[in-house]
Amino acid sequence: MTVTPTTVPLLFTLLSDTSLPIRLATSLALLRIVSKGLKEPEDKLQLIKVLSLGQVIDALETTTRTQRSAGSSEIDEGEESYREALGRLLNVLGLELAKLADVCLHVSFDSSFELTLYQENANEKISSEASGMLTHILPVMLQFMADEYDDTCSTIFPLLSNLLSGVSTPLIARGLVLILSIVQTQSEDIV
Amino acid sequence: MDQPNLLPLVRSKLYYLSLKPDSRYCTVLRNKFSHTLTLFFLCTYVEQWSTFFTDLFILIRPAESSSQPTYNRHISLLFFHIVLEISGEVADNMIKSARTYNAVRNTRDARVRDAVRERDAARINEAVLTIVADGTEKMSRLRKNGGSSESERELDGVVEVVDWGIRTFGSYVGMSMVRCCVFMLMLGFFRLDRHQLDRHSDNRATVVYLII
Repeated sequence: MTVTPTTVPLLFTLLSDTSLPIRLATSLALLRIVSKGLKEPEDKLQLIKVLSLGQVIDALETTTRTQRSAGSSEIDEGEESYREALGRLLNVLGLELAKLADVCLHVSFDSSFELTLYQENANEKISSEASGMLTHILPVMLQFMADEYDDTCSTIFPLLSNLLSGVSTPLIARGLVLILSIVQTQSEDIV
Repeated sequence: MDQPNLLPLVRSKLYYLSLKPDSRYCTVLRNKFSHTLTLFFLCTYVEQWSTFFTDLFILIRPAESSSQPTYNRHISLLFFHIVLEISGEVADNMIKSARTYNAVRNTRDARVRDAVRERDAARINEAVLTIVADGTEKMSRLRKNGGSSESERELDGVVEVVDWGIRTFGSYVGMSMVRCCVFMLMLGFFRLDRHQLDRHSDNRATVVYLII
């Protein structure tokens, strides 16, 4: 018995299989690979790069969301559980990248929101790459956050909490001031 | 019952029961066997039965004289259940934390984990992934050519094998075997087909090319 060099495509093939139990089992297997993987940061980053899970999850999230919009109004619980599994996988991927990047999140509250990440980790190259990969999965994270079902939406909360915990207090205060000013403006319009 | 007679008994019972149209007894017997063999394994590995997994792999392969072109479905499922039970017994932190601490059991679990890691981990991984790959290919073929109730039943059987295979892979991949799994992932050249990401090929899909 030999292992062919197509193990990664095999896992990704099964991640999008028509059988729901197979998809769920594969997403759990990938989650365990990412979360309890290699201890060395370089090896962990290499593993994540090889898997390219961010792009795969992005494509699958788009596909499942589109299918749900095009489908009937009845809830397909199987497909919802699959979206939850994808959300959990993205969450773990993001947390591992955040560990590698050891990011501190800065948000500028100008007219256009600009999201930048800078790293504090001693190994600049690893942190820089991990930060870049983390930035790329943030839009997907927001898509899950915007999901109408609470179970799917809540799968990425740990990652979101991790990212927001790096936001400095003055910036939180500035953000709150901005939100309050928006709310005040809207309430004046209503009156 | 001694070791040389046990595995042929397992094979004969599972094979003949698999011929019956009602496979409930086969499933019940398989689950009982997997639990019993797991307990037997934990008592006899490595000192008394060092070739446990090697003997099991021999059962999984089709006999040369048989007309079966692929791996025996029932023995494959038995193998997966055994590995899952062993993983659950010695490596699953959730199950272990639910038990009252016992120093003897803790020592045994560590001994078994180290022994499997050292001796059989790579071969177990190869076996699981090979059976899953074979099953995936069969699924694809049956879905293309399917239609009859017999092929639907066969497809259900293959889906079950692939499902349990992936669950088995997931049960140990976070444990000791990650280095070996990752090493095998990184070897060679592989390409991800865009249609493998999207079951409905009309949608846009990300194309990922991984070449190492």
